[in-house]
Amino acid sequence: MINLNLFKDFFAHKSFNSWIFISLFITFFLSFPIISLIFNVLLNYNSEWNAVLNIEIWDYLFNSVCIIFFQSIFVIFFGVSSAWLITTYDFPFRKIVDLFLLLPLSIPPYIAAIAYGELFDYSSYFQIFIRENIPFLNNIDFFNIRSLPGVIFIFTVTLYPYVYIISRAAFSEISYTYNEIGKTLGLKQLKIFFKVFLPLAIFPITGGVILSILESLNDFGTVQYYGVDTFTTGIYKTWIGLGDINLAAQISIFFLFFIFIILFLQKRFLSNEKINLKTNSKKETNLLPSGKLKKIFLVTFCLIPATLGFFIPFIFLLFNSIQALEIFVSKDTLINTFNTVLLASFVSFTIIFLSLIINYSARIKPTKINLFFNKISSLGYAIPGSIIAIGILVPFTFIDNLFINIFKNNFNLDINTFFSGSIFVLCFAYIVRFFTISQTNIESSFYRTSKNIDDAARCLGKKSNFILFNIHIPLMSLSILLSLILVFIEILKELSATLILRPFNFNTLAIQVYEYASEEKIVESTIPSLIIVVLCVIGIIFISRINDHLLKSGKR
Amino acid sequence: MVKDKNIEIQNLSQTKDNKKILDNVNLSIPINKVVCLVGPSGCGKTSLLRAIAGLDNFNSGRIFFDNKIISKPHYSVPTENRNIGLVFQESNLFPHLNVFKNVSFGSKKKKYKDIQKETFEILKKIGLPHYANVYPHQLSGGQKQLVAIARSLLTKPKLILMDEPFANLDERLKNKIRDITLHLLQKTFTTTLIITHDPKDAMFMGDFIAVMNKGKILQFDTPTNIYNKPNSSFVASFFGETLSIKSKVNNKKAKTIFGPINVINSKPGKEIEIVFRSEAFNITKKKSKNLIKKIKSRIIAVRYISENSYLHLDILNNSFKKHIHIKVPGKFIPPKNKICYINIGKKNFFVF
Repeated sequence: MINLNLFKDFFAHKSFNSWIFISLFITFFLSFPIISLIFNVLLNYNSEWNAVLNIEIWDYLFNSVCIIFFQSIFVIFFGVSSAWLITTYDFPFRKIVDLFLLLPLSIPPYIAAIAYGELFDYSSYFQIFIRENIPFLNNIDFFNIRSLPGVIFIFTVTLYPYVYIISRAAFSEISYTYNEIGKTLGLKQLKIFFKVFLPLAIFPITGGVILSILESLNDFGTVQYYGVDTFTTGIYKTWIGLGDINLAAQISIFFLFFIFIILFLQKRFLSNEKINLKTNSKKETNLLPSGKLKKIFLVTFCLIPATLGFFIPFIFLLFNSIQALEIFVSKDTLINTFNTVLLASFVSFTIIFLSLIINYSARIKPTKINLFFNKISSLGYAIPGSIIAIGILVPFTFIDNLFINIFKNNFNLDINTFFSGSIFVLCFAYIVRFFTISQTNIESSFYRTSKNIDDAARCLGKKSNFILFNIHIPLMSLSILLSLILVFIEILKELSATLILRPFNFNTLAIQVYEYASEEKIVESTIPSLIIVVLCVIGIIFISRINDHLLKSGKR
Repeated sequence: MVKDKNIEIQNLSQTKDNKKILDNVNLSIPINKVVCLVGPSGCGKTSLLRAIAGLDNFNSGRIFFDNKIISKPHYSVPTENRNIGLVFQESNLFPHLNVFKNVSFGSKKKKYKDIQKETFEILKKIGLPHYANVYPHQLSGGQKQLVAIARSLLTKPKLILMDEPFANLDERLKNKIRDITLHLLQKTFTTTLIITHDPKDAMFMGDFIAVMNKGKILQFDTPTNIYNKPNSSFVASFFGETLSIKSKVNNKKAKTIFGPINVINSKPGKEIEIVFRSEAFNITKKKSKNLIKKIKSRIIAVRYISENSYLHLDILNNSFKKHIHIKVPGKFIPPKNKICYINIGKKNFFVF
């Protein structure tokens, strides 16, 4: 991937400045876990690998592939169809339904898993209630949610919003004139969708599907709770169960390979970046009117995924948390909430800061090497939290052991581990993983600002720092806020990396949920769950407001 | 020809992806004058402008401001220290700042009172003093462009560069804004380089015109000379619709379907190109027996536009079938499909 021309290009610019060196440093920092994983596997190849490879890895692979395949189908069905209806038809409560469709983003899959696990449990209040009160249902066998199909169900209802958001944006971006042209050519609305809109939006839609896949591959809580082994649980088991970090690293590499194949296939076969979706005509789309029956159908249809993904788990949380109010005010919960919010705020600000630097340096010196940095640094989101965690843990454990030995041998001092199990390492993992979110947002808002604006300011005698702070940052303030909230929400929900890297005696809300749930203290677990969900809902309402505003001002 | 040199560009060449963008460009921009750089799109106009502004690098050549070198390969005074103004096709006002803040953005004054005085002075000159608190999106296209020009003028630049400043405006507005801009530039004694693809803009604005094609400057002269003494068929055809005929010189004459044409300066046997402006043709009803032949044509359409009649003609000659347009002063509207005869006058054609 790296060729010499990159470096030639780099050094040809005599006036290269500190911006490039800083962004070089940041990129190294962000790609560090992957580099360290690869090095580790190359250096300590573990022969036990073959044994694991033979038995377990094929199980992991089978389960992961099954989840990916069915989840993709369902997620596309719910996400794309509701996005199409929302952007095409006018019906009552359209705005609020739109918001509802986003809300499942606030429910991390593991919380939905706990809720549905309870609801489908034979001894749950829900089932007892049905058996006792609805006579013709008293012998019904509810399907076993703690299974592969159950996992697929959970991922579908909680992760379809990724496809929904992206396809909605794509559909509203495609000019309404295409719809009008289709009609003058005598096509029915459904045919216009399949012949014009779907092919035009296929790349962003698959992008959304891949996002949802990456999320489910990253998930640890759901598959663990439902006892379905995937790569993520495999990595965790090898690391915690067998204590073999090298083997975990090897599985991670195999997994990474698998993810890159998915990403490659999408880029290779579906990319239509060259097609310009916009025509120059007016931006506003005219929504189609619909009859009374159709209106009822539209509202109901759009409410199904929202109900499954948000309202059922949310109501479950509300009802159960009433029984455990004392936990709500317990010291643990308060401390964990404080920890989580503080950590999330710190990391999201750091991420924004870093992505501003990387993007701005690519803007003022768009050399090939800079653009290459930009690409590399946005790989993080493709890598599941557990793999990032292992990638970070390996070198830091090595450094720690080095330090411990040095101190022991030279000064006869016993010291604790220095890096591993520190809050620094945890923040590092968050930054690597969630950097992409703000990166893509800030990259596109830089992209929307004409370069002529920079040139105009430079001609008026202003230096690059001044331009960044007085022009770009005020111009993209909303996008920055949007990225801040998005990253914040993701960190609130993060479980798999936190589980591996958290310092001793340090818990986040997500960890608290996980620990209660694994001790089968479901009622107790609803309190931290509810705090996460409520915080996320507030964030999502903000996001949708900001998005509307950006849409209206034509910045998106 | 030009003595007071302000900006001097010598032998500038630029290559991008093995393609020559600028090919040995030489250009002098005289002080306090407006120079229009005109050429078809993709001819390298904008690249030249960006090189002068210091926004792009180039491979060889030098650029001087007031006889001081400011750009050569591997050496370049940063744009922000060059004291130049830049106006784009889209005004590129800072959307988050109001008109006052936009215009005063480059001000080097320290005291707010001075800035205010300076800014309002220039806002009065463009006739928009009441718009100080208005944001760019509330302005019309023409007003935006004026504010952008005012923003550049405030820093009293050595040179203002304008890249297609009127291209986004409709015809009527364009004439108005063009007029205001020209007088503003004259009043403030600003040296200006305007890039345009529209020869009309160039003729209207320029004290001098430089015609550019394929990375080369073909001709640099006053508008009158550019129109009346073009040095190549490209320059001639760029400033008006033309008909070009290829021929050979024989005994100081060249044979054309319009009869022989005197060519004094060309060697016998040389391949030449004769370019006729649409004003070169006369239209008559009858045949004549002069040396200059009359050619049978059919009228396809006639349009009367601002004191001129434009005739679309098909030439009915077996060896020379062409569709041409002829401009006739006054109102002259013959019926469609009528057969007429055309010949050429003594002016408005050029031999290359």
